[in-house]
Amino acid sequence: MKGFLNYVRRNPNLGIGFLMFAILFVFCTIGYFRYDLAKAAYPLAAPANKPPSWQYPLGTDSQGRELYAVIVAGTFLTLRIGVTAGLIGLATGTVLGFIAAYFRGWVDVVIKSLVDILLTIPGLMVLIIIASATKQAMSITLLALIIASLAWMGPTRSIRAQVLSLRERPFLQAARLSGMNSIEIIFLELMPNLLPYLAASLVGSVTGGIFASIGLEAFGLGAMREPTLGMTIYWVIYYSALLKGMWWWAMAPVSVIIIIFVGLFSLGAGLDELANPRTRRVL
Amino acid sequence: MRTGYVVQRILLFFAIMWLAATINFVLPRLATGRDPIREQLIAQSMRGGFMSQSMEVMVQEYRVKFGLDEPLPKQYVNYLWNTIRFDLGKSLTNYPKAVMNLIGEALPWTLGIVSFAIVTSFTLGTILGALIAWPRAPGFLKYTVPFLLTFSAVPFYILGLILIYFFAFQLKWFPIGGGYPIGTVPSFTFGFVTKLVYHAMLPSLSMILASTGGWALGMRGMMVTIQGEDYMNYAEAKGLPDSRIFFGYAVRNAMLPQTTGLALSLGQLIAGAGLVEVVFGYPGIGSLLGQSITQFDYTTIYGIVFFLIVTLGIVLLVLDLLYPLIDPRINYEQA
Amino acid sequence: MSADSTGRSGVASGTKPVLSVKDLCVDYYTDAGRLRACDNVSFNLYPGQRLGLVGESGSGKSTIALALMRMIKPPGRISGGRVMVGDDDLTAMSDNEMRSARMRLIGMVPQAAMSALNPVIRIRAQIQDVLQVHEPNLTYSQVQARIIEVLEAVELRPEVANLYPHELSGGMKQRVCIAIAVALRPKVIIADEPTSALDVIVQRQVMETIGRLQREMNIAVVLIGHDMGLMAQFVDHLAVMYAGKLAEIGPTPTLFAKPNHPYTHMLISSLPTLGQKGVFRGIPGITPSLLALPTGCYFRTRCPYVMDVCSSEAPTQVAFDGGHVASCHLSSVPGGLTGRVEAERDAEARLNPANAEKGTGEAGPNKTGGFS
Repeated sequence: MKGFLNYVRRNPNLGIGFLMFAILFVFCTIGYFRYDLAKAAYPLAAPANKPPSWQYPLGTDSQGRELYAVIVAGTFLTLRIGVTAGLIGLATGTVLGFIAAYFRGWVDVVIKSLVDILLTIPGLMVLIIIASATKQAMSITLLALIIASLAWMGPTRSIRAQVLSLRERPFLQAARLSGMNSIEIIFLELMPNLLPYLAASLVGSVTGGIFASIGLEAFGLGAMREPTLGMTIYWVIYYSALLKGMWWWAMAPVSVIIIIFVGLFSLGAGLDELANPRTRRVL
Repeated sequence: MRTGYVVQRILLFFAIMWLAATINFVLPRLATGRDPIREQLIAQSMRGGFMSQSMEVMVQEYRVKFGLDEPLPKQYVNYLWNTIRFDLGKSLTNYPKAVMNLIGEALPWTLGIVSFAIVTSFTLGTILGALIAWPRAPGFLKYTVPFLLTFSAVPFYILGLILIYFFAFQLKWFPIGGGYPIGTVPSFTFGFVTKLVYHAMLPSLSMILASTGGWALGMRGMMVTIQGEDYMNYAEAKGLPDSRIFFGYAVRNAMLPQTTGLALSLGQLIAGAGLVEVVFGYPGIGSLLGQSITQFDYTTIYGIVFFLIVTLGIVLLVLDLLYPLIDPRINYEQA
Repeated sequence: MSADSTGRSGVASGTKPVLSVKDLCVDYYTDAGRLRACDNVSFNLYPGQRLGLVGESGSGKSTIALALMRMIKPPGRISGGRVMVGDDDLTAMSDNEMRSARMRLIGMVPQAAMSALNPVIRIRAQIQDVLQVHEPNLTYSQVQARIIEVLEAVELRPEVANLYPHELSGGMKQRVCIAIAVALRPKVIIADEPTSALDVIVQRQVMETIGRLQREMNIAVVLIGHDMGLMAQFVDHLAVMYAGKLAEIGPTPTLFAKPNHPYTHMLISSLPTLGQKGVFRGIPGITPSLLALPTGCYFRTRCPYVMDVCSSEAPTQVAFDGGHVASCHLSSVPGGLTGRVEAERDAEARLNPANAEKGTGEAGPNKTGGFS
C-alpha cells in the first residue's frame, strides 16, 4: 500500500483517476442499497418536480423518477455501455491491427485503407444514421453494439503501429530462428510486450464509448425507457428543466458525467505514464 | 507529379463522398419492416387524435410522391443524381419544405459560433500551450494546467449545462437559450445584432472553454519534444535571443503537428457543437438535427448528416492540399 | 595544466593567446552524486593555431566544447576556472553578453549538422538570422551579399541559399554550418566532431574546407574528436583527455614520436599505417564511471606500465620542451615512457625474431599526406 501511495505521488494522474472512481463507487453503493432501482429510477416512482430534500436527496424529475436512483442506475448502465463498446472495439481493433502488422502484404493494405477511409468520416454522424434507423427498437445492448461497430478503427491503427515497431526487434527474430511458430510468437512474445499499451488503450476506448453513448442519447437516439445518463440529459432538454428552474435535474447527471470523464481521463494519462515511463517529468 | 497528387486526392474525396452517400442510402432501407411514411402519418394522426380509414390511400400517394414505389436500383440512381444537384429531398415533418432550405436557414447560426469558437480556442490554446512549455516564460501559467485538463476531459454540452446553470440561471447575466430574444423579429439593426451576440456568448464560451485545454496540452507536448531537438541547441549556439528562438524555431516547428491535430479533430468538434446547440436551443444545424430525430423526420436527419460529412470532407481536402505550404518537407509528390 | 604553445613556428613569443582556458571545472549534480566531467583543464590557443582535443566517449571533450560556449545546462554547471577569448572573460559575462559573444567572438560547428539546421526555414534565413542579430546595422543588401560571400567561401553555389535543409546532402549541410560559423569572423571556432557522421571522402572535403578557411581568415580552431588519424592530419597541437582530466598536450609531431603518457601511446598504437604489419592493440577495459574513479591515477586500471605509486598518488604535470606537458608517474622514471616502450619492443624482438619489423606503428603526421 505504501509503495502504491509513493508511486501515486509521482504519478498524480493515476491518483486522481482512482479517487474519482472511488467517489463513484461509494455513491453508487449507497444508492444500490437504499433504493429498489427497478422502480425508483423509472417514471411514477415519486411525486414529480420535487427539489432536493431529505426524502429525495437529489430531487425528482418531471416524470416522477427519483433522481438519486436514476443517477445510480444510469451510472451502471452508461458504464456498461462504455465498457462493452470499448472492449469489443479494442478486441476487434487489436486482432485486426495485429493481423495487418504481422502478416503484412495485401491483408495489411486492405485493412489499412479501410481504416483510413472510415476514419475520415466522422463516426458520430454514421452512428446517428444507424441509430435513427433503429430508433424504435433501441436497447442498451443494441446501443453498445452500434457504438462498438465504429470503435475499432482507432485501436486498429495504434495497435498496428505498435506491432509494426515491435516486429523488427531482435528478440522476435531470435524467436523465429529458434523455431517458434507464428502462434507461439504471437502469444508468448508479442502479447506480453503489448499488454501495458493495451491497458492504456482500453481506457481510451471506454472513454470514447461513453462519450459516444452519452452524445447519441442526448440527441434522443438512446433507449427511451432506460434511465441512462445521456437519456437524462435528453429529458432535461426536452422538458426545458433549466427554464423551469429545476436545476437539480440538470446538475445531478452533469456532475456525475464530469466525475466519470475526469476520472477516465486521469486514469488514461496515468496508465500512459505507466506504460511509457519517462525519466524526465515535464511538469 | 504535383498535379498527379492533387488529382489523386480529389478523386479520393469523391470516392469517400460516394461511399457516404451510399451508406446514407442503404442503411435506413436495411431496417426491414420500416416505412417512414406510414410511421409519420401514424404519428401525425395520433397527435391530431384522428385515425383515417383511407390512411392506406394516403400512404400510397405519398409513396409515389417520394418515389418510394420504384425499384431499388432506380431509387439509388435518382438519389445519387439528386444529391449531386444538392437536392436532399423534402422534410417529412415540414413538408413540402426542402431539406436543403432548412439547412440553409440553420447554417449561418452554426457557422457563426462554430468558426468563432474554433478560431478563438485554437489560437488561445496554442499560445497558452507554447508559453507553458517554455522555461523562460512567466511561471504562473503552469497553474492553469489542472483547470485546462479538467475542462478538456468534459464534453462541450456538459460544460454548456454548467454555464447555463451558473451564469444564466443563478446569476442571470446571460439568457438561457435561443438565438435571439423570444418574440423579436430578426433584422440587421444594431440593437438586434447586440442581442444576437449576447445570446451567442454562452454557447461559444462552452465550446471555447472545453477545447482550449486540449489545444494547449497538445501544443505543450509538442514544444517539450522540440526543445530536445538538435536545432534548438544550435540556435542557442548561434547566440540568438530567446524570443527569436521561441517564435522562429520552436513554435514554427510545433505548429505543424498542431495543425494536423486540428484537421483530425474537426469531426469531433462539429459533433460536439451540434449538441451544444441542442442544449442551448440555439437555432443552428445541431438543433435542427435534434428536432428531426425527435420528430422522426428521416429525410432531414439523413440530409443533415450527409451535408455535414460533405462539408467536413471538403474542409479536410482543402487542409490536406494546403499543408505542404507550411511544411516544406512534404511535397506534392509524396502521397 | 597549462601548455604554452610557444616555440611553434609563426608564433612570436609574447603574443597573447586568443583562447585561454585556466583550471576549467564542470560538475554535474545527479541523483547518484556529483560527477566532475571536466577537472582543472587548462590550455592556451594562439591566433591561427589548430588544437585537437581527443579522447574516448565520456572523456569530457564534448563537455569542454559546451563549457566554452557556456551552454552547460542543469544539472551541470561550470564550477570553476576561467575562459578568456582575447581580452574578454567569457566566464564572467552576463547571460546577455555571452549570448552576444556566441558566433561573434567564439563560433561553433556542431556535431550533427543533419539535425542542427531548422527544418522549416530556408538556408538563407538560417544564415540571415545570425547576421541580423549580431550585426543589426547591416542593410538588407549587405546581409544578402554576406550570405553569398560566405556560401562561396565554403564552396557552395549561391543558389543553395534558397533551399531547405532536407534538400541538401550531409556534406553540404555541414558546410552550411561552417559558413555560419565563419560569417561573423570570430577569433576562435570550436568544431565538435564535425565529420563523425560523414563518409571518408566527404570528411576529407569538409576538413579541407575548414583548413582553408582557417588559414585565410587566421582563425584559431579547436577540433574535437576521437579519430586520431584525422587529428594527425589536421591539427598542429593535440590534447588528450581521459576521464575529465587532460592526460597530455603538446605539438602533434612530438606527441606521435615521443608520447609521454601511456594512454596517448596506446591510442596512437591502435592506428594502422600503410605498409606496416603487426599486431594492433586496442586498449583493454573501458573508461571508468565518473562516479567511481580509481584512486591515484585514473588510467591505472588499464595501463600496461602501471607501477605501485600509481594507485596511491595522482600524477602531477611535468613539462617537456616545446610546450609538451604530460601527467604520468613514468615521467619521473629515468627513460620515461619511451624507455619502457623500447625495452618492451626489444624483448618482443628477442622472443620472436621473425617478426622483427617495425612493431607498433608510428602513424606520424608526415606519412599519410595530411591536410595542408
